[in-house]
Amino acid sequence: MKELAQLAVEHLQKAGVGYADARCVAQRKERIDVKDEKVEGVSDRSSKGIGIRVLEKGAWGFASTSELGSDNVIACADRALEIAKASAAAMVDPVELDERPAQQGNWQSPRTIDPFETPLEKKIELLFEACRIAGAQKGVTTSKGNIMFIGEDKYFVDTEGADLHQDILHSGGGIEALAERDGDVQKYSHPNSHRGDWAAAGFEWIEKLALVENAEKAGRGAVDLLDAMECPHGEYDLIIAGPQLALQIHESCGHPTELDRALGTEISLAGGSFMTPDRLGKLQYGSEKVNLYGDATIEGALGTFGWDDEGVPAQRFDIVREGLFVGYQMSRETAKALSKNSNGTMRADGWARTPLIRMTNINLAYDPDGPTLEELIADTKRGLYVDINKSWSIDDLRLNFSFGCEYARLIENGKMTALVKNPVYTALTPKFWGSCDAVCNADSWKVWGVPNCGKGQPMQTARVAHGCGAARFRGIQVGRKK
Amino acid sequence: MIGEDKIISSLESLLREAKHEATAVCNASFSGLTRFANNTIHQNLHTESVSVSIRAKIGERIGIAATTGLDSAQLKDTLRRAEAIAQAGPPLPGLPDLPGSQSYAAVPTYFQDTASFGPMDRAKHVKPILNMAKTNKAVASGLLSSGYSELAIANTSGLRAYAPLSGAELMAIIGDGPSSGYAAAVTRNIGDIDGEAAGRRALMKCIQGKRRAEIEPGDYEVVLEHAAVGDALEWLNYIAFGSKPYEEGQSFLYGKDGEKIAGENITIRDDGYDTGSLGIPFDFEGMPKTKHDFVKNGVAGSCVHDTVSAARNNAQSTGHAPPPEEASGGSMPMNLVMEGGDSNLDGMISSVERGILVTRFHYINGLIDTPRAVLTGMTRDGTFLIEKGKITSGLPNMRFMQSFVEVFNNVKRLSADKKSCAAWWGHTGAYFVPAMHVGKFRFIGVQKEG
Repeated sequence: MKELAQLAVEHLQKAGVGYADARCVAQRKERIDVKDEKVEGVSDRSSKGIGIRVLEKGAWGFASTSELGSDNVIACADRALEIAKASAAAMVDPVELDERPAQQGNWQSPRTIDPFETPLEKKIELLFEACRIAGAQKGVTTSKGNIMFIGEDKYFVDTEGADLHQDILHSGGGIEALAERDGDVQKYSHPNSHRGDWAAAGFEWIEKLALVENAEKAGRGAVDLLDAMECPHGEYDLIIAGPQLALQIHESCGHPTELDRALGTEISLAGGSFMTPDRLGKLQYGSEKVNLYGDATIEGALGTFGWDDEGVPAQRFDIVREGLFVGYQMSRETAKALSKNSNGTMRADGWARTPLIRMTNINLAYDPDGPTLEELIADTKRGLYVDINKSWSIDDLRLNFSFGCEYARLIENGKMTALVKNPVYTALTPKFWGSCDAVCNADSWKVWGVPNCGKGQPMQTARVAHGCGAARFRGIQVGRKK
Repeated sequence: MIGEDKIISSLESLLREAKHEATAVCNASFSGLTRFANNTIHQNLHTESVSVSIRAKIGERIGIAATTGLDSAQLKDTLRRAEAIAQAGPPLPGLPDLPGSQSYAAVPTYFQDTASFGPMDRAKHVKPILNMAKTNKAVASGLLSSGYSELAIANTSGLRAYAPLSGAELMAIIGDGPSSGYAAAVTRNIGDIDGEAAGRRALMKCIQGKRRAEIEPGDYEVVLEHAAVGDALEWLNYIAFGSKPYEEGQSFLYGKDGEKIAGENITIRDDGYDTGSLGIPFDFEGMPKTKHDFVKNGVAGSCVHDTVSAARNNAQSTGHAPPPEEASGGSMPMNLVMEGGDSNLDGMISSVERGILVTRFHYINGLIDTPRAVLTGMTRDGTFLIEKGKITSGLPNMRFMQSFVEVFNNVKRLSADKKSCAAWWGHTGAYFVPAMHVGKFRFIGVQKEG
């Protein structure tokens, strides 16, 4: 595979292009879905191909192919060059890249048990057992489980001398129980919704998720919600648990601080960002309790790697420091536009797509002097504790958002009381983070894997993560007005 | 183009190696996409991908494996993997036999001009949009994609299906400060795409929205343009029309078959033979598509089926099997058509005393309360105040949260003309919808900083 990437780059070097890189990627995905002790689907998908990027006279071209004969690879390289020339026909300012030392090396994500070598029967039985237990709870109408493994073997070569090999393995899974009665459907997931929780790990991660051990809780959780009170409508202090806060960070901090988006190049899909470059270092994004940072070096996290898909090493960088907006996620091209250097966030969805700025592990720092979750609840007079995401929506500048959760608990005079169903909350991003008056200490801090971040046209899916504990936000609008 | 003969013969050679029953699906895709922003082309791509998915069936057990390319050794290895998965998995009681040879109606799915439309052609179509924005000191963003795919399905019971599918999509957004306008088109025939006309429409909306007004959240009469209706229907499809949400009781159609759930002017169906829905005549199991009503004149129907969900529900396949990689999601409509009425956009606007015109929606989510089809999302790229039958000013983007069961009981008018709106699954379908005038629609927020 490396030879094919080299072949493409050497061919383009001979053609005298300004810059070129090639990624040859072999990917394997195993996915198992079960429902009510029946297999919904088991698939084992392999894919191999090459993606070639050319910067010629300041304009980009990209071509990719799954046909890996030498002639096809050369033709693909030529096509990328032809496309770059077409782009140049409508160019305004030529693209420039930042300076970075070309690196060479190998990197492998950690794993103990090879999931692809783990017997399929064992994987299915684990999910069956969890479904059996969840489904046995009186009132559960559907129980579901899923696990998925994605292995990626990737070579990156460019005209500046980069020569990199990465072997990345991601594993994830989860269970959910549904209860339906008289047109009301409630769901309870473990450990998280939207295909559970993920990490850069092997099958040992699935064992760690304790799907069987938590199946009864999931089943009971769904049934209990049928009899829970509807979410009240009004302003409440909100304590957001880790799984939901992870998605909150994702949508209202991760996406708006992607510099390509802030520069307007994602407007045709998900929009722009209110965090424009003129506000860097000036915008008070949140309260002084809010410290957000990117870190692609966290061992075992889903957004961790050795180098990004421009050959820039994984690194840690600040985004929001004591509430102040201080940094972007950047590529070589966008960083140059701000006279900065890339912080290594360009990734592509497999060989067929061009790299985009993607979140790595975007985290809310815990407050070393902050409360435990229990202390935070005890300190809240009238509030709502919300957990596990159910719905998400945010506007095209990442300002106005609405989130729904699987369940909530009322907090009255420092105690969790009634179970609440269909909780939703809505707010405006800077006002929301500005209302954050407490971030929990390290006790509840954990990295949550998000396996399905969508961006770009054609759509690309990235696996990213968010480290956070619980945090409190004052006076947030919750519920639906009848 | 690889061609029908070569693909089918590769699949037949593969199936001769099968030790049990098997279905092979080949999707060969050749697609280009030119993306523009800040009045320049910033991404320009071409992808060639040949993927083959094999579903092995051993009695009542199924295994799926997939690979890239048509190399015979690689395909055979993939077949063995699929068989090994099927062997290891538990049975699915009631799994039906594979369908045999089928016949298909002719549907125009391929236009050579679209297939051969290259990056220079796309640049030529995009340039007028970029120039128009520059001239008017505005900013253009969008995309133009063109290409084709070849979908082929074969199984060990003699079924053979093949269709070449061309497709092109244009999206133009022109913005100037808080005001922006939008125009889009999706078609099998690139000849239907007019970049300059789309640019003019997006620019006109942008200019129209420059005069701004403030508005409070609340209940308003709305006129939803075609794109907005298509956006909503995309989510309704996901939460209601496939077998999975229906079987789980999450669909607003669940338990309502034959009941009146909407106004008589509401008819929504899947129609794989309608060119407006970018129809194709068979599904990913090779079963002929049937026209299927989800709501007909306000009366609820049921969900669609593939052979597996049909067997579970003692029903027949309706020809709606999803791509093999989406199989665990159950059956899936891909060619949604909503019937129109006798009105038009201007007629709708002129009949509104005070209301809101919505060009399109953004980032809808429908998982809040699926049995009532509650959707939330934002308006985008052209939200206008209508007063005394006229558009008077542009409005900020607004957040809505609204049950579409309620909407479908409160539709005052539908346009006679329908437009095709792009779907996420590309060349195998689209939404073909009218504009819709709704008596009451709830907005709960406005886009602002604080």
